[in-house]
Amino acid sequence: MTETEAIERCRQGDIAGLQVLFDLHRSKVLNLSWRMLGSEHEAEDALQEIFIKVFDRVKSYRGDSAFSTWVYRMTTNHCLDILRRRKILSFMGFENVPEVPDKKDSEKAVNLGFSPVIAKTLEKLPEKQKLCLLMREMDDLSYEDIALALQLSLGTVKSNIHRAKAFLKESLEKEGLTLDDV
Amino acid sequence: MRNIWNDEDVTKALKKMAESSKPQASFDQVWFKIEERLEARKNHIWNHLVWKPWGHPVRLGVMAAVCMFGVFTGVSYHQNSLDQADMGSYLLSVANPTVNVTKPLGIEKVSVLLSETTSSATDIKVDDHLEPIAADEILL
Repeated sequence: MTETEAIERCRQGDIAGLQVLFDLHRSKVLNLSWRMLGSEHEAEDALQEIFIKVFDRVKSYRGDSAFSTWVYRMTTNHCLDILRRRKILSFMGFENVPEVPDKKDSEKAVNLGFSPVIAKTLEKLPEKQKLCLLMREMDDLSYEDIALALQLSLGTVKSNIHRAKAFLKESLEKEGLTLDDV
Repeated sequence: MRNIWNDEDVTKALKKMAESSKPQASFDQVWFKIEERLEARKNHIWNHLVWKPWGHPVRLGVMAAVCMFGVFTGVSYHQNSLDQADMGSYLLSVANPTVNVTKPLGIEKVSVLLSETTSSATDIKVDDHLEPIAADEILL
């Protein structure tokens, strides 16, 4: 079954269609959620929620962009919602809510497979710059997909990636590291 | 010696890290949960009773007519109950006009005055020309 057929079947309420879409996009959605949320468990939950949302809202997909872009957009929106909710709950003083102070953020980044130097540098970047860089370089998304997913202009995405890379280069040079060190 | 990093090096470093670190998720288990939730929702009785009147202009017209009929019935029922209440009070006042007559100012019942020990009600005499209906009342 092709992606288009799967979308059509999904629109008719057929779960088999969703299974095809799930198999096609699950890895990228999971990676993206994992990088944004910083926890495998939460990323798994997000994966589940996102594909249920895909099933519910597939009728609103008009085909203006690639289906993968539409799914990534849904993923980033869902993860940003979770992060926003987490910040609000943390601000309100609820316990058991993972806070996001600087120290924990760098630990989280190390857990995500970054070298400590890169992790420290990434945590200094603004959220949007970091997301643009990671989506481009680690998840292999196109500039257009990133722009649509984060609802930014193409120019902003490119400049965010450029600035993030420049900052990363500068930090790595200051530390005197080579490519083999990281 | 200071190392020089270019854009390609940064890309390579990030790609290397992306290759070495990937989340380990049991996709089968996630899919099972998704399927279970969708099936549970599908079998729910309310899903068989969903009616979308906005789906077709005729259905939309029918729903608008039903709403209008409901509003009209409600308003007329309310008006009818108001009219009935008015008519009831009118008939009551016609049948027994003294019931709704309010007590005029300055008129007190003799029996009340007699019951008060400190009052000078004993000095007051009831005039003969008073109407029978007001025989028990005296102008103060």
